[in-house]
Amino acid sequence: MDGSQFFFTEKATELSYQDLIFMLNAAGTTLAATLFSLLIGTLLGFILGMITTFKIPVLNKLPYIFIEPLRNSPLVVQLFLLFYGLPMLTKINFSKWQAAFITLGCNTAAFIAVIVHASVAAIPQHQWESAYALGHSYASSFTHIIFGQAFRIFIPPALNIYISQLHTSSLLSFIGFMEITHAG
Amino acid sequence: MAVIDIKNVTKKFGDNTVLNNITLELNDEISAILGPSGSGKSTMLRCINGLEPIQQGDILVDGVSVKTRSNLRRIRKTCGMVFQQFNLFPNLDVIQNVTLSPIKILGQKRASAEKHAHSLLEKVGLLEKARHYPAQLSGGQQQRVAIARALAMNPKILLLDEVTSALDPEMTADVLKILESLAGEGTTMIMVTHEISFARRVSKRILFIDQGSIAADMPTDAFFSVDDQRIQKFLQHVG
Repeated sequence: MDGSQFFFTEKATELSYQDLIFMLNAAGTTLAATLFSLLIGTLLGFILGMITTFKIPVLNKLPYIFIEPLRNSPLVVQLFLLFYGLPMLTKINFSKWQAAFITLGCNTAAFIAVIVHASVAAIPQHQWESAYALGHSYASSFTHIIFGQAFRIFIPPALNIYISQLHTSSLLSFIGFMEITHAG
Repeated sequence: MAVIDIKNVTKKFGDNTVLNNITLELNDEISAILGPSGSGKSTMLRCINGLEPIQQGDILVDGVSVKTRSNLRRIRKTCGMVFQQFNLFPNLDVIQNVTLSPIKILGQKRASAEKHAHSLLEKVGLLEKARHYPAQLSGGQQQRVAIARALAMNPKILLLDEVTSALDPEMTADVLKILESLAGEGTTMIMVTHEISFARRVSKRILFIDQGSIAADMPTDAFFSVDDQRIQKFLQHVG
């Protein structure tokens, strides 16, 4: 007897329309939480990514101290460290929602930062040069000439990250799940 | 006072000395910079508007030094530049390419910037392409837009960096025709070029650069009749 039969025979009878509505509500909450995290993550990632494109030694490498650990470790580990680990070491104690937002937001930021860096780096140097030659400053060159071109390169990989993070957000239930079991 | 005053300039890329102690004054006239590939012609032009930093010496553009980074924007407003590879902004259409900088940097009103752009596009014969994007234009058309874009900033000096080298002969003729009419209107131009006959026809002064040094600096007529082996050899190769 496999799992699917168990599901249909035992559980299906208990699944009512009310449960479906509950699940839809829960899905809505997940979606809202994820979207909020993605928004925060995109803003933070944009700032970090821009810093990495500056031609200022040392400063332009600093964001990687934040980016690389977050990009290269599992989200669950980050989540557990923040939610369970931090209160053991310090007096800081995040609620599960705070922990969820911070973890997913920072994790998204790390990925977005690298995409921002790559998108800006993909614009040929001569585009900057012709902007400079016309008298534009760095900021003016970026906002009026480079940004529009880099944004087109940014969108496809960013959408991939967003979708992947939406899937990853199910991991956030780990801290919610544990709490319920602890409470129960 | 000279428009561009180059004083003892040395430019290096790593250990490679590209410009070796160059001293030169450029005035309100049309000058052509000639020389074999890799001699430092383009680099000198790029040093003038600060796209390349110099290691020694100083360049004054209209009395303003390129050594101070905060001066560079002022210098670049004085010097318009046209590149070999056109370098139009691909995400903007022709009229936006031409009007962006006058609006954002000179603070012109959109209406007056567009009016000026229309007259410039008419001058380069591309008024009907105003709403096209660079990718929809041929190389020669793109280069003519690039010239209009540089002129839209009302520069005192136009720096032309091998503007026809990426074009076929027919398009080259189109672009040269426009440059010639600009020359006729008294625009100050400093051009790096391989179009020897064009340089001979249009420029008043020839600078011949070889291995990072000025090998000859003389009026155009004198240059083409000078009895110098190196120059004769160069002219034979390119002519």
